[in-house]
Amino acid sequence: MRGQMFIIAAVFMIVGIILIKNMINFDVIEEQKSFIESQSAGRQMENILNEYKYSANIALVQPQKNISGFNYMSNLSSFLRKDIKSFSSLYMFTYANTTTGKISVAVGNFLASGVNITLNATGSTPLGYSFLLQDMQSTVKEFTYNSGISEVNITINYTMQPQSDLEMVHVIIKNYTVSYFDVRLHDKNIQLRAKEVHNRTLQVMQWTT
Amino acid sequence: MRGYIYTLEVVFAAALVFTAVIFIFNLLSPQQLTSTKVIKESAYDVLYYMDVSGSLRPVVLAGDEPQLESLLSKYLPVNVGYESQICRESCSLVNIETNRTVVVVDYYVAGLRDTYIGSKVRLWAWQKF
Repeated sequence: MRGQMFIIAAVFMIVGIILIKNMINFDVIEEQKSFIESQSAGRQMENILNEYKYSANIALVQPQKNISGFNYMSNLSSFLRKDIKSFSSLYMFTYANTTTGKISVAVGNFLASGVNITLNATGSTPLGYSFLLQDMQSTVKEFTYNSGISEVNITINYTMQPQSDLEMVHVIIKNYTVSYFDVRLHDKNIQLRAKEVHNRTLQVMQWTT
Repeated sequence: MRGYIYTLEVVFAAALVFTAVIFIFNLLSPQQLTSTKVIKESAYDVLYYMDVSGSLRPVVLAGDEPQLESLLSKYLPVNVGYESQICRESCSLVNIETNRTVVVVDYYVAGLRDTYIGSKVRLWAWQKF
């Protein structure tokens, strides 16, 4: 056997090894990579949800809670949207003000597409709003709740073709905030989505002498 | 003389196969994936621990990167090299001198107590040895 034959045989062997490697291991490794990425995205999702909740809590200790809530949620959403390619979200921040008798509802759309939104509130005037919110837009709607009631149900219905989502939150009329977050991390390998409702009552300290 | 050349060709062919096997099986080996996973998890866990223990947010609010790196050095394993940055908008590229696989972990910090910050900590980490 001539020496060149060994080199030719070596080339065939290498091609064979590459083929075997692709058949056996490549899919497994790709799945492992996707799994690791999804775990990492899961942690990122947890971090994002916590920071949305933290923003709502910061707003609650500001003098103008509704405006602060609106600003913080919008700023956080814009920041995340610019920073994470796969990120999109929709948020709602509600605050019941016993002094004015009004419930303000801030809604922000960062779902990367225009969304048709319907907001309804029980025992309030007006009973509802319907509007289109473009991507990266936020708005505030106000309801005046009827005197004598202690709880209002606020329903948000948002449609982004082909999917429609309906969520209802209970707002207790006592310096109270309820926030709703729909956060998504979507790219070619990972499809993560989390919805969360966060409520918080403002405790008014009364000092006696 | 011919026999000597044949032997050289055989040795060359064997070396070719040997190198190819090492190269092919080293690409994306499960061990490499595991170590990347472990480093990434450690990096996130350290930032999370610093957050829940109350040391992360004051440092981010102050924008104190030396203090952040000092805290990170306490918790990250000794065989993990790292570089960190506190970013309000986008993070600038840092000069990382390593030929190792570098993982990047972003940890978002919305605020501290009654102050909204809207920042993130970016941590680059790699295995030193």
